[in-house]
Amino acid sequence: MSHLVASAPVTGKRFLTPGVWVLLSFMGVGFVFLFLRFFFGIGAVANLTNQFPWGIWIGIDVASGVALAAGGFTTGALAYVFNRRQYHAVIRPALLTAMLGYTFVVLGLMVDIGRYWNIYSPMFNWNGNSVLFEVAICVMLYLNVLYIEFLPIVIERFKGRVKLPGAPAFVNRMAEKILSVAEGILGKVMFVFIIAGIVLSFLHQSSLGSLMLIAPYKVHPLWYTPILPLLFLLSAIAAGYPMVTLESILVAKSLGRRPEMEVLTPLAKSMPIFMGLYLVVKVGDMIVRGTYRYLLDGTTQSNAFLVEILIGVILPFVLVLFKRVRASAGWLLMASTIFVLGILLNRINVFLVSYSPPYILKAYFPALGEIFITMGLIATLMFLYRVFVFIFPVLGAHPVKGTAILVLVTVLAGPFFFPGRVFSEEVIDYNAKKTKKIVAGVRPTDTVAPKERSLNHPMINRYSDLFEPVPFKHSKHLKAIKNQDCTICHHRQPRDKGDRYGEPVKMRDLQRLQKLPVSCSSCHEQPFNPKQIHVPGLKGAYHQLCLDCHQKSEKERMAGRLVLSKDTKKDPYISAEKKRPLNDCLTCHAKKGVAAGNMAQVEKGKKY
Amino acid sequence: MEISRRNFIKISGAAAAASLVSPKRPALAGDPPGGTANGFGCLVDTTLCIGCRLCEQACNERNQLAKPKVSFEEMSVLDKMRRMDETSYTVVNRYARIEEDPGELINSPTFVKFQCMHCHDPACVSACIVGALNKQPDGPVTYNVKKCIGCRYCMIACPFQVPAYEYHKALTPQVRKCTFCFQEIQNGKLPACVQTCPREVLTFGKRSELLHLARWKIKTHPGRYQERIYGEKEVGGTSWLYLSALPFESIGLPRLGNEAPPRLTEAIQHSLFQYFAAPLILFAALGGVMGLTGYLNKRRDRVNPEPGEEDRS
Repeated sequence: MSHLVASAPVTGKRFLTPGVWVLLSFMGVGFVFLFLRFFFGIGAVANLTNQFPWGIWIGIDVASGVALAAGGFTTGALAYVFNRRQYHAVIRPALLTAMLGYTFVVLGLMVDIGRYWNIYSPMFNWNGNSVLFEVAICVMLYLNVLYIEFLPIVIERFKGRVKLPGAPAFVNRMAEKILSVAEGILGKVMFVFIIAGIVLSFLHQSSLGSLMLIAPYKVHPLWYTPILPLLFLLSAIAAGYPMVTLESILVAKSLGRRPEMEVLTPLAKSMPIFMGLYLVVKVGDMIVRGTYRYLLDGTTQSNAFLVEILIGVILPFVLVLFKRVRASAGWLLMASTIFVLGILLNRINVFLVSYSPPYILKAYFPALGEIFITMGLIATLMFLYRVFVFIFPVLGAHPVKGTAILVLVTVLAGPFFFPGRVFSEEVIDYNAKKTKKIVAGVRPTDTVAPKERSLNHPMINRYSDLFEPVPFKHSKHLKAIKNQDCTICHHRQPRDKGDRYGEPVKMRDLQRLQKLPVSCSSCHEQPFNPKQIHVPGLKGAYHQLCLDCHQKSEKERMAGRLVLSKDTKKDPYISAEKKRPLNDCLTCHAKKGVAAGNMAQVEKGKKY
Repeated sequence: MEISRRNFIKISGAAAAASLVSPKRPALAGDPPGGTANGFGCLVDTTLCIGCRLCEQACNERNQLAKPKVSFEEMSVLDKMRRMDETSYTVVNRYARIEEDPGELINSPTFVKFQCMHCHDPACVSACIVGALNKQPDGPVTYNVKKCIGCRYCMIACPFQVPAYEYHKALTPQVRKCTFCFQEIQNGKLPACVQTCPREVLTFGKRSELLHLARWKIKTHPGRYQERIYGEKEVGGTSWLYLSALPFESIGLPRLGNEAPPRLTEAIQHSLFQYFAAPLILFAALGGVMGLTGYLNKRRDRVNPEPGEEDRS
């Protein structure tokens, strides 16, 4: 890496200030919750539900983390692609922020995803249709690019200073040699990584916006637009310099240095352009799609949108238009902070506020665990930043040791093997059809009808056998039904074999033809017969007829009075239950296994 | 940073070649969504359902899910709206009749069974980062836990809000949703819920035949049904179809458009990555600008060298 203004590790400052202790305490609390999350599951610490599967871990840790690490590629573009050497002063801190930021995006993701030990799965299982897949691959590549971009800083720190204690001189010489060769190679190929970093950033910054496009019916129309990816890209680019500015001034204040206004003020000159571009596209999109009519709805969503755009974008945009603002560290800090928070709000809005699923059992609000883990991660990030700038010439890495080990362990954890469930059940024999012959030569009257039948059939038990069959009293029903009309139940008579519809049954016709009504099973035996799919099976037919009629009989007079469901309970074992509604199986059936008294135990089918 | 032109071309060429073999597949144009023209489906005739919850029980038993706290015979659970969760792939909800209509089931509430709709062009399948969810040619949308990383993007994507997650498992949480008993139906058996349904509210069969059946029902029972089959066109069509006496929106079936959500996202993704053109052009353009500005800088330096600025490379 060339053209670098000399950077050096921070010296002569106390590392542990009260602020650092605050960070450490946040990290401690976050760690406790992290422990709970990894040992007792996400549900133990988070308010995530089946309605709201994504919370602040995605909205803040991941989506906002990526957006706010945009300082890395924007300053990279400025300093290297456009060769503006004067900005090299901010490139190293921006690079460090991006590197740590993306590392924490991945850590945040590890907290959020349920099977974190399987995080390498996207590398082997590609789904080119998935936006998330593209984001994941780009973030993974970009993270590596960032690490490579940071290497020269590490080399610079150790080059010429290799004095391994106790090691012979040639080892030290060899280490030096390796460092200088590495530096040489890196210097030659670094531009590829710099450009690749920018391209990868463009890709995943925009695709993060495409993520929510898969849910058009859940995302509020104020945010749901096909150009969401473009808005995400523009806002990330616009957030880059404010983020670098914010960080630079804060770090300067924290270390008691003078803010580098000679770099930051010229940098701020471009802010109105990027902010303005974002604003124009966002407002233009709103006008084109006509979503401005939602603005004054007064709902949480419309208010959040107003805050996002009025305070989060327009206010800082107007502020940075003023020369005085750009020249003053305090004002510039304020404008940058507001814009950065505005972008943060935008990401939270898109991923959380705008999201309203069709069925909400419980609204989402982040749990303490989610908040503390997020704060712990941010505190760790800030703490590591401080560690880095004290060690490396950033103003500069432990090659994030903890991270490396964590990733290594998870990769080595290997895929757990989960055997798929094996269902075993006997094959349904669709050919087990047995039709009854139409008995001819008998004059059908109510006296011919069987007195009592058990509404059962082997076919019914084939499907499920949870209850005892229902005893059906022909005589009682005949008395109750007006005109002794058998056709209410025996509604159709098949004309030929394979007849699909049958002819309507009239008692008069039956008597003329000397035919008995056909039994139910002759048509209804087999459910879901592809040849006559409109004909229900026996069980379905019984239940449809009986229940429909009995529901009717509770409201219409039949047999001179209303027939209520409790009247049907004649079996001693059933009548104990007095107040069952008709839709309760036990109103009519006895449970299988209960001694069913005089009810015949017809066909003991296999227990389902 | 010094880049000789030849060097640049060499290296960017290598990068281009590398990116061509990298994971992003270019658009698979004409990829049929699902390919389920002749797949299985299920028709739910909500006018027949009496809310006995036997389907819930059968499903629970066949899929060996955790037993619920309240027994399946307890009808009071219907007082609250429920959704599918890790212990239930299907739930029945009760919707009170809003206006009386002189049908056969006067004033009786409508019961609606919910489960995965097994869309033709499923948003979850398109969204899944690792392709753990798949649309089978015979209808079911299946889940392969071995690939899953637990990102829950499928839950975000699903327009019917179906997939549920095991939030309380520390190590091996899974996405849980109706499987359409895909192993059973492959062997000519029935899904558990269909098999157990006492009133044949659920009709199982080829989707094309079910559509016929549904139209036949609407035609032969004038006034009984809404003259629309829910799921015929919603989000590109679903394997599960619904008939109802009441407007579908009033019985908990969301109003959805006919376009499948993945059509937009995949169009964006695939046009962005078609032959890797966009990323490569961007890469080349940035490289060009870099070379140009570097050259201009160098020339300017030669013309009037700035004091104190030294190139250390």
